[in-house]
Amino acid sequence: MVKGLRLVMKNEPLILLEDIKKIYGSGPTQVNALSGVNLKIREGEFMAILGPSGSGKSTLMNIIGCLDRPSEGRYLLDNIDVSGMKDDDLASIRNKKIGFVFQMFNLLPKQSALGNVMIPLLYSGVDARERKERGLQILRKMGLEGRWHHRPNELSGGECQRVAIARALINRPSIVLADEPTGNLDTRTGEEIILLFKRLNKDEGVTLIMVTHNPEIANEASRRIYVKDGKIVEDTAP
Amino acid sequence: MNFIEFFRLALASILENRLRSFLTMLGIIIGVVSVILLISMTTGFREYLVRQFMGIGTNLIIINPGKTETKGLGQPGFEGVQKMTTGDTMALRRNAYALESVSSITVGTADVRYVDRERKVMVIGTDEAFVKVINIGVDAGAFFNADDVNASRRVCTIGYTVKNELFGSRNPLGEIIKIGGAGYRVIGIMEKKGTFIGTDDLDDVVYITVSASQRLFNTDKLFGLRAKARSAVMIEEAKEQIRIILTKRHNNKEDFTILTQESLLSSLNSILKALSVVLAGIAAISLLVGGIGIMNIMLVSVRERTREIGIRKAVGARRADILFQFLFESMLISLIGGIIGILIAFIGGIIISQFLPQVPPIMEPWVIALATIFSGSVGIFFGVYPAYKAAQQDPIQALRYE
Ligand SMILES: Nc1ncnc2c1ncn2[C@@H]1O[C@H](COP(=O)(O)OP(=O)(O)O)[C@@H](O)[C@H]1O
Ligand SMILES: [Mg+2]
Repeated sequence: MVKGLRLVMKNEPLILLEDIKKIYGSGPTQVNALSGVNLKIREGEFMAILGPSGSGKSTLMNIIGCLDRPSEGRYLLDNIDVSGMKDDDLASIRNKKIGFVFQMFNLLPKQSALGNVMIPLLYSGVDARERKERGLQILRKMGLEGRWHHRPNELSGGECQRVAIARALINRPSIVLADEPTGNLDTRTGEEIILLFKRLNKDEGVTLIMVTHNPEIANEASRRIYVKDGKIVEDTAP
Repeated sequence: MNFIEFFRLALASILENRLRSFLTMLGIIIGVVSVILLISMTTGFREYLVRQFMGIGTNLIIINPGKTETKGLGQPGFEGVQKMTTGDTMALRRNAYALESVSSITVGTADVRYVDRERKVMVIGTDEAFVKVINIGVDAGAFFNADDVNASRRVCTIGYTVKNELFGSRNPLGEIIKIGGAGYRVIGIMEKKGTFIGTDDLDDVVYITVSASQRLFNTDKLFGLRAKARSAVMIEEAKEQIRIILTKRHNNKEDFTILTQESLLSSLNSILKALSVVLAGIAAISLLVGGIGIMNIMLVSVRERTREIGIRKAVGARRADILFQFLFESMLISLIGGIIGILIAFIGGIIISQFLPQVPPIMEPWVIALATIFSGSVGIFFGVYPAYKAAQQDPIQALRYE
């Protein structure tokens, strides 16, 4: 029974975007960041998003990550229409279902690695003891067990990004979104980070969506889409 | 998130920016210190007044010639204030049964001389009932009795200051002093009374019999009467009897004023209450200024921490989470400022009472409670807008903020 249900759910896309448009501003300064995006992403996929700068990749990521709402179109996440949801409901979804990794790390400078990693748990009502336990556990998994008390300015770029990934993972999200996660890292560190992501996707079945400019990294993904002028111009999905 | 989490978050942020937090608190600290000290000093002063007034005597009734409130038409002065005489005293003693005792009072100044030392001194003429009505005792010797008064003997009792100034360490009892040129025998030394409301030296006084004083100052008028009701509950009754008896004696004119300690105190109290209102106004203004300071810093802080807000929202903070985070911070800043202010005011109160031991500031618990509640509320009130601004931020815009 449970297995059957699971199968049915597997066949439904985890993410379904229908004719998504995003318009910034109005009048002569109006920008069509996205102009009609259709996209289905299944659970467990590792998808790379490629495209020139300003083509709308980040805008697309923000909408998928429920940080932003489309101007037009429908977005079903896990079969739930989130396109018209209220801010606080979107916040809950971000908290529980989605992990975000940014190019700029976006860590709080005055908090330790552990402090940063625990923040999402604060907003899901986990008590202080469990927060610390889980925070240390995930940092260990990221190979940062000895660095938990260090602040971001005492960590290398690669370590910072691993802290950010730990933060993205701590609430066990089903989707991890990474917007140019290696953009601020040297090649070797970048490769390590990509390896980490791949393991996550493979071993734990996390759905992974990553924006990258690096074709080599993109080749590691199971699927690639190309964005240009706010549209998907190529999709390697079968 | 529960309140403890918000509290921790706020405290951590305050401790992170210690200097800034302290400077932000300063307005509240100054406000709270000045308010508490001003109110405590007023309270201390009121207690002092009560002590002074109640110390004069118990169930005291003061009867002075003249009416303080003007009623009716007609020229003042001509029909005039009828003088008060010892006849009034006698009439009250005979007829006002609600009174325990009544005493006549005259007041004047005269040169008092002993051998080669001379001093200008207040001379009070009165009778044997004085020491029953007024709360004053005799240290050595005795106060004059009814016989001395009736025979208008040239006897006197002297206050502490007069004794020291004229006699030094010598024993004045039985000595003759000259008051306005005439000789009086010293039969008693009054106990030390100190000053009244910090001005008159109550010990720089000579008491002589009322008849002797009327001769000395060449008048039959009295300064007034002092009476004592039989008990506290009989004060009103006593006042009424005095009014009826004296009005009848004064050609049916109420040309005198009857005061009690309570009536004096209540008019003083209303003055002090007005003062309290002014102080409350100062309090409101100083806390307002402190609150605006907090709002100002919080607005800067929200702007500075835009990225932090974006990050928190990106990982799942709801509006209320951000709102309360900042609201708790401003409330806590203000509350800590208030508590520091209370402590400083407490120390200040102790220091002031070293300098003003007679009028020590009195810090009542309700003032402390009020200061605490007020400072917390100021933090909330002036923190709402910055916190609201923080909570309103769009996560993406906030993340992009440099
Ligand atoms: N908040 C915004 N206001 C106005 N224009 C925006 C905003 N965000 C993005 N844009 C515009 O939308 C387009 C797509 O931006 P973005 O999604 O960041 O591109 P990419 O990530 O592919 O470089 C760009 O032209 C950008 O200038
Ligand atoms: Mg981008």
